[in-house]
Amino acid sequence: MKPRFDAVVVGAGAGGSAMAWRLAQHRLRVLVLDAGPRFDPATDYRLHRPDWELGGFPEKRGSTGRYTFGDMQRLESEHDDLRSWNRVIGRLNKTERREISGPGYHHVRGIGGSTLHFTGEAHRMHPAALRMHSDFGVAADWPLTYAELEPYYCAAERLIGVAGPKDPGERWRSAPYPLPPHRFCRASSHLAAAGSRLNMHWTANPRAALSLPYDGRPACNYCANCSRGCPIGDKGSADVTFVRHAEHSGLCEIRPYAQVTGIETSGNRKIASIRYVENGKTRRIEAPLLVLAAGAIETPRLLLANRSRAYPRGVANGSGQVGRNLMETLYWQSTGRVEEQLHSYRGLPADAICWEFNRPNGIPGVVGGCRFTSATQELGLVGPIAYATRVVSGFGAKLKQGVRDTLGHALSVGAIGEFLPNADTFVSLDEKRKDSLGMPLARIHSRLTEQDLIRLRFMARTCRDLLQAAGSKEILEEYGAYDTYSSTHVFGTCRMGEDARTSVANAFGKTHEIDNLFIADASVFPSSGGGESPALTIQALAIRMADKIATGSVIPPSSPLKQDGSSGGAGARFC
Amino acid sequence: MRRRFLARLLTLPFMAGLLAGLPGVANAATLNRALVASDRNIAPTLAAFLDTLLPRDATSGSASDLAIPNAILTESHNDPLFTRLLQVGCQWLDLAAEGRFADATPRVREVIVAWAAESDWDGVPRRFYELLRQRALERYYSNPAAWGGLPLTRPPQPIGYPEPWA
Repeated sequence: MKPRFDAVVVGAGAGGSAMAWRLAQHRLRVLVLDAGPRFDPATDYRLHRPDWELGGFPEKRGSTGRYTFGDMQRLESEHDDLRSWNRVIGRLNKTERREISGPGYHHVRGIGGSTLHFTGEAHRMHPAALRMHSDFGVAADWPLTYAELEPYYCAAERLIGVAGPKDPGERWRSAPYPLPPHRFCRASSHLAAAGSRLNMHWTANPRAALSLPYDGRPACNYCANCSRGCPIGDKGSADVTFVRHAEHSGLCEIRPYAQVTGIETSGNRKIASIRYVENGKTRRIEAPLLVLAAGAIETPRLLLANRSRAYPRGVANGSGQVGRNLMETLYWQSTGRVEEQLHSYRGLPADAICWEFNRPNGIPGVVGGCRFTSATQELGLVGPIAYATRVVSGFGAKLKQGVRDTLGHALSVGAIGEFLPNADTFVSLDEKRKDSLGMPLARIHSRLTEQDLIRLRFMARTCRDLLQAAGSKEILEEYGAYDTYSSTHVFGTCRMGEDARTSVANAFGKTHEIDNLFIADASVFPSSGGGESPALTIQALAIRMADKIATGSVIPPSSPLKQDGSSGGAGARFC
Repeated sequence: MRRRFLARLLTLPFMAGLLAGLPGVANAATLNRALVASDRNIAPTLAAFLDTLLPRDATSGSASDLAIPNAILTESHNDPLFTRLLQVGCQWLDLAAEGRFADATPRVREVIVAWAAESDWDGVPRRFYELLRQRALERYYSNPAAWGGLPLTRPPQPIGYPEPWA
């Protein structure tokens, strides 16, 4: 009897949804399983309520995972300039060890995955970031070039409706962005003007947020709260883009609250079926093709948890690389206060970006770059509770007047930098703690190296210099990765490569050991990039993988767009 | 950030110390009576403390005007640790005022609260101040009645802040 589905995809986030959409476009029948719920923007999101400021992205049953952590490193006094603090309570971490911030790994389980709470930056990798080992002797090379991935960036951008600048800088394009860029909000204009005084060039950040109505979705109304969940659907999260179109094809079925617990292999390098738990019942389904897209923590967890005589180190882990090479978010944020009323509580979060130092050799004295964004809204300084608890200290009449006097005057700069893999940063299985279904929890191990601290210090100093140039007399708050572990972007734990001894999957996400097992999330990244947000790259990779799976071929590499608007590459016809 | 901050305040060793001496309760009825008695005892002190944090002014009401003390007392009923912190914190305030904190002059109340705000991070007065400040401000500014004089006059949706921006 023919299996009911041609492909089973685990995870409905950036990669899983893009994979499902593209496979359905190729007329494959696809089942998507996700451990988390569906979110209903009309009822689950809170931005219309007077108490909207109280929470971040809403939680529902099953929308958060549980993780444990290895020992965090000791903090040294020589790095006190990298401690996190705010004006109201002083140091945020009052201990002498790096601290896990909240859940540590900030991730949404559910239909749309972490795109539900992402800001929506739509970044391409810098072309040079794909050759970190050949050109700089660190991390690993990607087994494909920017030109090979470029047509798929176009495909993803077109589906989402990415708004981006005319000049793409060093990330050359074979076709323009689908939508024009957003205008800078007042805070970002102020920051960009300060940047120009420091020879830092700021440009419109490519955003998965509509600058015009598109594909049945409205344009952004600049409410400044992307990460709390977009109730109007202009944010290009996976639920309103890839998932919506995949389901519309009639060939894709999506099941929330369905957690995969078992991968069953047959003897000849094949997955036979998977086990999952849905509404308390364990089910089994044949998987002629299995795609794992649960993210760089949960995908290796699932592989490692499925050991057998044939795969004693876990499925597809003959290399021992599953869970290794974890790369995390290296971040820094500084907030100051300016005299001018900037109304910095409104506008598109992260609308402006500086790529000046993003190249792998962009920061003096260290390999690995970084990028800077206008971050006030992204940091949640968008309402009176934030100002009263983070900006204005004290109590009484002075506190209340202080909130009135400062609201809208905060100006923040955020930075994210490259994180290179190291032997002490990896994902393993917790030997003692399990989830409610009996699966071992993922255990995250993390260590910052001296090189990471050099990058972090550069990021901190540049943020402070920029705020000073912007007229800030006082820094109000700083927050960074040195003393807190707080990662949204994680990568590398099933990295792709040509050598099966040092990688888990090939350039098309196909695992080296199992012919019908693919990985379509950031686990496959061989390097993190100089701070680029990974969602668009995950989606482009997934679409490319789907083309290869379904047809055996991919769109040929693109060429850059010429001055006359034409492209010499075959990719242009696709875009 | 909010959840992280509260987690920092309510560290296990600190709260375990607070639990020492918390009367055991045999059943829900006994607990309810104990809570009501506790609320009655501390309500005036708690209200005076919160009104010192958030007094009435020309533009917006006090914490009591916006029913914050009652809301915090009700919230504490689900949390024995928080109940204990309120009891101990209010006892400390009354001791510091050498009588009832609620009967002290506004100036004296401000001096006591200012002392708590600068005291040892690991001590009851400071933890009480920080936690109550956080919770009071969250409740206060979640009420549109507190938004007087602010450039924000409504939640971000459904209107947003469309262009053109002034």
